[in-house]
Amino acid sequence: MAAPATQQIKIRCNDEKEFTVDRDVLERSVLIKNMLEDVTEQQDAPIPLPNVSGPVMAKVLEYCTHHRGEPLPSADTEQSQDETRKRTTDISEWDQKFITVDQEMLFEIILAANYLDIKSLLDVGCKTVANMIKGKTPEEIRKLFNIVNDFTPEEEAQIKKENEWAEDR
Amino acid sequence: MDTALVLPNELWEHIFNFLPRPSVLTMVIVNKEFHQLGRPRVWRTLKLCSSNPQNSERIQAVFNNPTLATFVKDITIAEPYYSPQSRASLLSTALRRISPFGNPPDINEIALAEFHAIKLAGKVLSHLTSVRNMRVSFPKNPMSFTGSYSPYMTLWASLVDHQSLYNIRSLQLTIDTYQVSYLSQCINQASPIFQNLEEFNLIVEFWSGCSYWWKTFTILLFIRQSIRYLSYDGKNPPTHSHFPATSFGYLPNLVRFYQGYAGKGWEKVDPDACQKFLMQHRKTLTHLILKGLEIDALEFLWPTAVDQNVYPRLDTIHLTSTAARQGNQPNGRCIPSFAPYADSLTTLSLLGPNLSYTDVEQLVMGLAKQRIGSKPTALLRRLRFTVSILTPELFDLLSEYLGDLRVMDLSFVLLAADKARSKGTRGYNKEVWDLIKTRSYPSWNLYHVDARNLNRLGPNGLRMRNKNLLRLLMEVVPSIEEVGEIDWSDVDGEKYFTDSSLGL
Repeated sequence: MAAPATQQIKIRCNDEKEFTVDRDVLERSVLIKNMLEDVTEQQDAPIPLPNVSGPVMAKVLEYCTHHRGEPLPSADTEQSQDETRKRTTDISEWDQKFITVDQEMLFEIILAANYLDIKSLLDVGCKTVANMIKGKTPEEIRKLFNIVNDFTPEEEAQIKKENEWAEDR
Repeated sequence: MDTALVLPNELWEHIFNFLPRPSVLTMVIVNKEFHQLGRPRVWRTLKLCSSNPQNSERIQAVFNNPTLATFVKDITIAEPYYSPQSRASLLSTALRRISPFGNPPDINEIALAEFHAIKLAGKVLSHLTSVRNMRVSFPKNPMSFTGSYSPYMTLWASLVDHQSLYNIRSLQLTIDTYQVSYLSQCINQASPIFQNLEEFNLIVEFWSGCSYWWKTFTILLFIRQSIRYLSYDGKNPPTHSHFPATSFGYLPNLVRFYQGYAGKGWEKVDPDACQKFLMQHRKTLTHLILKGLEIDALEFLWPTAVDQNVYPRLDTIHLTSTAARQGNQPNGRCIPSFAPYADSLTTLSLLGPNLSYTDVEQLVMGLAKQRIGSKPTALLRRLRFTVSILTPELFDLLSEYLGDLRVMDLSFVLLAADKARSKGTRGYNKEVWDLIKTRSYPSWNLYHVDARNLNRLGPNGLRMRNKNLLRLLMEVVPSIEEVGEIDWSDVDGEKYFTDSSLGL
């Protein structure tokens, strides 16, 4: 049953913050899309999203609004483009600006995109993290993510040795 | 708390997908968690090259360690030329180790391109029942193996004999014309194997003075269901009358078509035969790669009389002309209107002769029309072409139309000819470069190749600097020996030859 594009849907985040959004914007999220398809009657009660907070949802909606109307990746194109998708870390200009946020927010967006099942946003987030990692030394990466080195010097030497064998050519 | 721990492992796995190998190698030293995540990835692919002195250590490291051995899923044994026996014995050790008599890891892909490895493959393959994908490239230049065709015979025999090979779903063979008759016998004797293949990629390298090649086409008709990728390459291609379109018949599952003639001495393909072949397969084709055609022949490939959806599934068009045009005369005829194909296209690459302003205008307007005309589905993300000079006018034209197209990866190759150089132009100017920078197109790549003094810097020199650029040059310039000095400098001393593009 196709709903008119103007239909408004209410959602409620885990901090009680509520949004009223156009249905086609919300349907960028496969999770919500499936939920809405299951519901046959018009419901006034907001959809609860217990895993997303208000500020993060606002960001996600900004993304969904900008990309509304774009075709969702179908399973078929997904497969054929999978290889390219994994190799390239290109991010379009708008997405690049959009994802320029602090690290905490970046991780929150990735988690939300994963939960809401918005593949393109998940990729943008993960590519951004990958780009942050690229070209850095282990020490720089630890600093970047506030990670403690839990290897003994012997273990670290062993891994370095193993890495040498693993180098191509 | 470690901020990185916010993300569950499955998401880190996804992030790892986007990391180049060197970064994965770095990540495993960061902490134990990343080590656990990254280590299988590091060892998934194992490349053994008999010219690498470290091989014996690596082989021991991997196959004496049961944990590492189970990570290995893809093995590549690469050595294009005949290798000394002593080194080959290392490879044979490796191959024996991966058989059930050593550690039997669950290997699903194996690629062989080494003389002795192929020879051994016959014995080893029968134990590798897990192999689903196999790629075998025969060492090039068969003339140096005169009288030593036994390794190939062993392999062909193993293909016929071993039950285990019934598990293979994808087979890629790179053979030369001398092997065609063996392949023919093999297919005859083991037709169930070949008919069960989901994907059979055949790459035929043509050698002069050989008349066997045409047999390929007749035997392939028996297994036409499994052929998904057809590729021809070689220094001495068949002449017009031999073009496969007439010999082949219909291949119902063909998705990739590659026609390329490397090096000098290529001949013009019969455009009518080529067109006929493409029209027959247009419904299934997703990749169309034509290399070394005379650029003028291209217009025959795009019949105007056919309906809009000529290639309904076409994803990638890659056209390369090795005919380096003398001078930079515009030739609008060679730019077909891509509008009818733009619906499903994600990559369009036109390399070869420099395009004129009019050519580019025709090209981008054709593409943009799709987008403006109520079809917001234009999927085009990669666009590449060569121009001799990037002027502000040309740049404006591109920004106007391509901004709308959402093209994310736009590459120009500037092949500056002698003439342009002597006029004092450099293929681009500062004004244009500043524009590109201020508008911050992060994925726009600009390759500027100065074709002056072509003989000074050898291919080795190039390879050290930028592999992708080298690859590109090898496609555009008929012979790499003819590429010499490359002007690596740019306007502000910033690096703009990026490696991210050209992943064909």
